[in-house]
Amino acid sequence: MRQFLVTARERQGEGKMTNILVCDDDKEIVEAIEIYLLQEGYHVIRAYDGEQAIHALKSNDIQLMIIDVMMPKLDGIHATLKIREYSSIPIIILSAKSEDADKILGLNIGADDYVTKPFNPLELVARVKSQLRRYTKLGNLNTENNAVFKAGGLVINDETKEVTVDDEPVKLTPIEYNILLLLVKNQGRVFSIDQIYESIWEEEAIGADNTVAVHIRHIREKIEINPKEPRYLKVVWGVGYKIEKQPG
Amino acid sequence: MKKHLVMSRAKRQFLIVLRRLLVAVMVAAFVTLYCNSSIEVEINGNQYRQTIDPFEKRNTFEASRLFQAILEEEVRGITRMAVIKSQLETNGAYNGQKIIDIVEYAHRQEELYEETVTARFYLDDLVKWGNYGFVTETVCGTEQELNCWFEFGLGALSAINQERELYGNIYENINISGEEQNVLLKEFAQYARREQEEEEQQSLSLRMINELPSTREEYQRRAEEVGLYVEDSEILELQVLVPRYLSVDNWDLAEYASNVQEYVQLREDLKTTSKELFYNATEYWENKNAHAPERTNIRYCYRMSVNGQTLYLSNLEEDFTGKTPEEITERFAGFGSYIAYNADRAEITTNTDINAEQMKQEIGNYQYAFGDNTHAWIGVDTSYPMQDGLRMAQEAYSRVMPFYKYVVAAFLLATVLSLFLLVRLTCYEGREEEEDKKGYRIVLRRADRMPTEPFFVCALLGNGAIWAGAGLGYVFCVSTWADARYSLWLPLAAGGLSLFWDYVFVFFYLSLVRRSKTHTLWSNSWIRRFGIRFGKTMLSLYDNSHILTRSLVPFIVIVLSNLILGGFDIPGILAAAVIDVAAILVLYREKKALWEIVERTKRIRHGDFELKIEEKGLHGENRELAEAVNGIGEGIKTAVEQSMKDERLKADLITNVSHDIKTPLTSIINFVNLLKREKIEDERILGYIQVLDAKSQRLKQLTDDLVEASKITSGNISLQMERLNFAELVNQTCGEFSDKFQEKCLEMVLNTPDGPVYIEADSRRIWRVVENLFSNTYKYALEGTRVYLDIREMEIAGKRYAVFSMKNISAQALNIDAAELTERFIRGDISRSTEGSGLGLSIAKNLTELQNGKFEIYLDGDLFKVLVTFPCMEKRPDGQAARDVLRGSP
Repeated sequence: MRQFLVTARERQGEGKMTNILVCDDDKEIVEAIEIYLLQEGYHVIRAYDGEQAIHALKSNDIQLMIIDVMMPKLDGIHATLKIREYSSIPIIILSAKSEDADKILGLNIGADDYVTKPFNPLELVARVKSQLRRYTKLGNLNTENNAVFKAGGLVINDETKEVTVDDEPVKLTPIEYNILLLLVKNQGRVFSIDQIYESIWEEEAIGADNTVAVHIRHIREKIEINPKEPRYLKVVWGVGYKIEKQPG
Repeated sequence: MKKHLVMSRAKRQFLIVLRRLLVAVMVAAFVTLYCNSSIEVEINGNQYRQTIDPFEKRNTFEASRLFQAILEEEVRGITRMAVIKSQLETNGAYNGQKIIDIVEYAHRQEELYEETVTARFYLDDLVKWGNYGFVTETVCGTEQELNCWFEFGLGALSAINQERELYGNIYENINISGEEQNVLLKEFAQYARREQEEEEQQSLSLRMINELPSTREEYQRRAEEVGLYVEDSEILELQVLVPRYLSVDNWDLAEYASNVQEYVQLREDLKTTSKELFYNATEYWENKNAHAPERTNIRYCYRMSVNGQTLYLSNLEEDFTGKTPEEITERFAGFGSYIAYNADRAEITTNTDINAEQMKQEIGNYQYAFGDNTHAWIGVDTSYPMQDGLRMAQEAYSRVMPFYKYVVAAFLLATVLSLFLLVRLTCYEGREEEEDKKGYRIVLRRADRMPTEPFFVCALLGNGAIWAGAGLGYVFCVSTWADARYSLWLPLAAGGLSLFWDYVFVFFYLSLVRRSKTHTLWSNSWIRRFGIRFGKTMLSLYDNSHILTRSLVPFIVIVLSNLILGGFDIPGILAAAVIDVAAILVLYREKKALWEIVERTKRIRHGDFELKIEEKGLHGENRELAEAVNGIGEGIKTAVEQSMKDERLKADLITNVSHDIKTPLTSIINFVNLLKREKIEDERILGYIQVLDAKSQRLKQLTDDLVEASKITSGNISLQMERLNFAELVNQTCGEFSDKFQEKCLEMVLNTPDGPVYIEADSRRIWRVVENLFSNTYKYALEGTRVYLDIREMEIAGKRYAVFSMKNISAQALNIDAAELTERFIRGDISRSTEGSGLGLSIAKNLTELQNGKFEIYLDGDLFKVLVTFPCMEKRPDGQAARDVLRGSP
């Protein structure tokens, strides 16, 4: 995670200013987010309800929006719906509602990410960056090379043995690299611990060994923003592990 | 085509009127047919009824069966008359002085012996005596005594008496035998008669009546007087005609007979002859002129031999003497219908349907009278100039016959049509269209509200009165006017009356239809009302009576009825059996109802609180019991619903509160983070910030756990059960926690079986269970100890279970109960100083149980042991197992 921060700071001076709209009826939350984002070199436009958010979006050139759900006048869900009628900017929903149903609803109506309160501000910042990168750069990635495998923002170049997440290079051990390569090559397929063990170590698994599980955890810690809510390397409890098939 | 469900009012009225007219036609036709189906004809003075066969094919009266039947009757009468005339007439006129031989007459249909004694009487005398009857006197005597009288004109007993008077009792001391006595008696009788003849000339009957005793006792007494002993059985009682019935010879009947048998024979013959002659004479005088040519259309001529001379009997004023039979036949053929019959040859010449066999039978009855060479000619003047039975029949026949087919057709047609209309009216009766035009309902009228019984009485009285009136009217008409039966007015009147009758009938009938359609026939009846009231009274008596009365009174009633009825033979025993069977049925019903209550109570006990016991139809204890059970069930149901509702409200409340806590918490966490990033040198302030950070994180955890725990307890979560490998799950979890455990120097000792251990669970929830257990261990296990993790399969009571056990040494002394650990907010350390919400184990336990698992905690000193048990699934998916079997894998 520290790596992300470093790279973000490095890129602070590049290009024009990035405008981020932060919308929450709790002024302190907006303020705190602004502080974090300012540190990352983003310009923040504030809004305290859905109507203000829509108004601000029309009058400013905004690249990303963070919006709360429960707000007066117009709530986050309806605001997102309205915005999606004319804009495709990344939208991150920030809500105290942590039920699965709420998350599904939020993502279905057009939000790109869903962060529950109380959140880790650093995680939020990382997600903001990730969304911005995908929005601004990922569209023109070179995919002609046969040795390059990707799943969403996760890209593995098997020739150079390089792994990047949202263009950020990730350093993996050879075993971790091999496991990740196996999973990315077979996106969507679930591998059990024994299967992974047999194909990486090339010897028979003799049960009662959590080596693979530990490695997987390490990989997750390196490539995921929040290892407990992984985007790429998912745990299928009681069955195995898989890389989720990513859209686009 | 649209099917009409409802008949319009106008159409209904039209159909009713049309049907009424058809009924009138039907009745009129029926009356016509009934009245003309038979005719009454007078033949030989007798009323004689003949039925007309409507389906006869013949079209002339003379060819009909009716004509034939009447003709047969006429032939019978004429033949009989001819015979009677031959008996009573001489030269075509009644002859009172005609001499009749009684034996010959009485036995005229039998062969007679030549030497039979007979007597001859004058016809007039015989007819007179036949009319008034004969007078007789009773005389008694032995057979010998009486025979002596008939033979010698004097009885032995009288002779002996006379002897005694003359000569004294000369035989007084002589003891003689029966045979000798007979001889003696005869001698005396001969002797006495001679003397008698000399004395006086009296008729024998008179003397017998005078001298013989009239009773048996008297005879016995007289016989004893002369010293004779006579058995009572030897004495005969003889009815002797008084001496007023004298023959042609002026003789008494007794004087013809030579013994008792002959006398009795003659007497009976005399009686028979005079009686029969009297009847014949009566008939003769009555019907002498019935066949006079001016009174009948029948013409006849009988040729018979009487006493050797040929006799012609005819109602034609012609002399047939000397004519040949062929000529006479020719003459009769001129009348239209004729019969010529030759009795000797049984030969018939006719243009009617009467055959030789029938004629032979008619003539043969009087064979004795006709003798040889008998011929019979009968003709019918088919122009019917005379008013007689044949003419009446012919008139009736020609009145009806040509129209008969049409009347029958009209009757059948009207009957069928009116029945059809009645059915149609019945179908549509009472229907009234619903407002939505889609259906109909049955509407009752005012007349239909009358209770059923008076309704039926009214219907019966109304219809009965009309029928009775019609019947009386018919009888009156027929008896007042002779030709009423055949007049056209009668059917017309009947048709008219039926118009009125049909109005009454339709009124009641349609009311009946409406009642039965709405099922008010029974529900509106007095019997039902009375029955219900009676039943209610009995039931309320039963329900309100004391328990002792309830059980004892029916028992005593049944026992007594059995005892009493048992004394009445088979009907009584049968009645008692019926009562017993009824009692058994009632008992069975009661028991069955009770059984039903028990069954339903059981089901309520097993959690089916929605279930209700049907209280209808129950009474007595059963009803009270059912009400009580229903009340209890209702109470439980309400309580359960209330508690579910409370639990859900609580969950909602917790969720909402946690949302409200989360927002300020977000700010706290954010700003604490910002503080941490400030370059603060002061160790003290850094310490404060540390505390703030830790507590805000815990608060976050606490709110999440709280929401989850409340949701699980209120059952407000949905599970997605799937098959998963329990061992893999534990392995994965170990991987997740390896760093943390290392951090606390906890060594994991993991034991899993070689193969997968499949269970059915919701993967994310079971991960939560295992995760909670691991984090619980991480939080509370003593640093530097070993944590034992075991997964194994066990078989308990024939079922396979996957058991996961986790053992560790607690860092704190566990001074609480194992069960309490899974209660909410209970933690191993009472001080609550460590991180954790105290909900972990509670959530784990509840989640496990929601997924059909079992969650147990054992404490043994510092040893903390958790057992999580799930039912095992098949080792492999079915398909794979089957494939392995096929391959024969080890």
